[in-house]
Amino acid sequence: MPALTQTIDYFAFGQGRSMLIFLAVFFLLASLIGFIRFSDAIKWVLEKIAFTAGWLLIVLMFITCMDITFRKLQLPIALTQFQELEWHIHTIVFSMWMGYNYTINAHPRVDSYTETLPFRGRAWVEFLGILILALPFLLTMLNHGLPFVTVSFVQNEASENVIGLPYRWAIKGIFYAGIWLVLLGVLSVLLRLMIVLFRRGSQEETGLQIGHSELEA
Amino acid sequence: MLDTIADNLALIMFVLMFAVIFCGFPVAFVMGGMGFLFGFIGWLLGVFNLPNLSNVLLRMWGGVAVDPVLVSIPMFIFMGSILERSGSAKDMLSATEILLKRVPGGLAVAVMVMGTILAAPIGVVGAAVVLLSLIALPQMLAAGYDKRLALGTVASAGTLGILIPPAIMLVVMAEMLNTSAGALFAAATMPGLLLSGLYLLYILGVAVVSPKRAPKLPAGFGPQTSAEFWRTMWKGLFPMTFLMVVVLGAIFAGWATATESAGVGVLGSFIIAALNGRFNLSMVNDSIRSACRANAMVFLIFFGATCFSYVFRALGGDDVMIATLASFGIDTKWEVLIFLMILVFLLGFPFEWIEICLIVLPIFAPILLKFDFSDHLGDKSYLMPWFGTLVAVNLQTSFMTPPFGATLFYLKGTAPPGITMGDVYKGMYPFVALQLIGLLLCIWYPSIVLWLPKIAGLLD
Repeated sequence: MPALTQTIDYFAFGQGRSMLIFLAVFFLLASLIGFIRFSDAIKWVLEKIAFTAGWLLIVLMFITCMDITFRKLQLPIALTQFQELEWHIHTIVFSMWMGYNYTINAHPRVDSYTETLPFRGRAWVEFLGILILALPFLLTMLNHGLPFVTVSFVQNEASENVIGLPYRWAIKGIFYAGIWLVLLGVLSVLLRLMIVLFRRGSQEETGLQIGHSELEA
Repeated sequence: MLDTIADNLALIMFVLMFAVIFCGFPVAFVMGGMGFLFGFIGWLLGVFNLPNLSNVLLRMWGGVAVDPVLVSIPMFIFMGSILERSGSAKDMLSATEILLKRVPGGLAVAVMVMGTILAAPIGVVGAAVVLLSLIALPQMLAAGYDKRLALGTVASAGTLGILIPPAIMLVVMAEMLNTSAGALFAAATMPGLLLSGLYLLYILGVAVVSPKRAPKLPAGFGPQTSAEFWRTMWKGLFPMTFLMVVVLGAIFAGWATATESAGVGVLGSFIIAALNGRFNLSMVNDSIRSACRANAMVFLIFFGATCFSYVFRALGGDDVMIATLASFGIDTKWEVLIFLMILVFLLGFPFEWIEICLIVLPIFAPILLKFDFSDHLGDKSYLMPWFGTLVAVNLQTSFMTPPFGATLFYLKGTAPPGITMGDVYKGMYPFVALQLIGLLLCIWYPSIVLWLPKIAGLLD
């Protein structure tokens, strides 16, 4: 089977190996610290990051208002940096929130057919979804996407505008880190799910939130 | 056998994705994960290069992160959440009710006017419907309104928010259709007002023909002295109306980009909250968190959808889709348009607008662009704003159509006890009919859609 050898080759010797190593280290750490405690710790960190980044919205408001005021008054201030700062801040805000959002179950789902399942049934759906869809997707993206930041850093990339902001690699790094945070959010939920499914943990002890959420409303 | 699979991989991917999405796993991860899985299968079959998946990051970066227009999304959501959490929205509703108390069906008319002006910045369908349903529905029922009329009014007023600018759906749609957010805002304005006008006519008609279903408010309702009246208006109605006029006017007149006006809108809603003495740390904190949450929700779906459509394209999805449509006999421009309208309408039942905009539009808009609608619209470049507006009106209709429209469940969930799902369904029918009339008018008379963007010079 060429497909099988291709897969084995990719994971054992090719670029896929680093993903397996990462997962092995992660679960080793998790079992040393305790699944729930580790999951809580990740969630705590994600929450702190998200809440801090959230205040940038206020900064964003002031910058857009200053941008338009300076432009309308035709003050001799170069606004390129302001306009770049706007999307820089926005990128930081959504990157820092995507992972936390999953731990509080705020990502929308279409669950009209599964919301009637018992808690464990929904937990199984979530578990399989993470294993088959979310984890491979995020890991592959992160694994093959590292040059996106490193190349930019090595070239000391700055804005394409001469008078734009320097250190383009920094914001690229934050964007890339945001996907790591999504991965951590997913892993945090996965640890709780494993306690629910294989250690017979209840919804209350694990604090697991899955399925239909009232948060959207 | 393997060759057939490899050739039709994109089609299998498209169909399977819709099946998997119903499992109730977060939509963003389903789209991203299906993109990855089929990339992987394509890699095993030798039609895709797996490391190319990292291009999704580049696409997401180039198309989403650096885009200055998309910055308006968190800002508009933030503006809406401040208005909602500071109670300004509620003040506005009561002021409108007082203003309209002498009009037949005054309460329902007030809810509709309020939905037209205010549901817009709230943007997320559920939020506006829930807000109106919690505040206005009990009031209408207590005033003796027919419950079907009351339910229909709340649902249609609440869903208008996805259509009337500055709805964030239009920003996302403009991005997907490669047109400007300002043009789409302007294009959706007249259809939005048309629908709102049709609703108002219907409500007034009902109130005049059978006053029992929409009774007048008692004379004792609201302030009794004119000083008190003006104070209520001054607090509730003027600041908000002024804010919406400034925010939208600046965009239409070309003074400011959508992002800049959204920034001003946020500042303005803080000022309104402060004027009403409701500016405090916990309100700010709450609004920030709910805005960030809704924003991150949108952008993770962007991320998943980017992965999905990248792999779909790379597997030759565009050509497969056209060939599939042709094999069903759908190959003239009107057939394709009607097919898309029906598809969007049906997808509106299980899905939110985000998924539809991000999955359906990037796949089907290029197909529609291959046709020439200039004999109907006047110019080739008018197609996308027109099509976007049709999709928006269509989605709004879909969201409130029994038996599956999402709004109906929000409404049932927040309605006072004693309201059955049957009441909700029956309340919707006249409004859905008006909605369909509006949609057909926009299809047959494209100038309803294109008039405002043309005179504002936003269609170049």
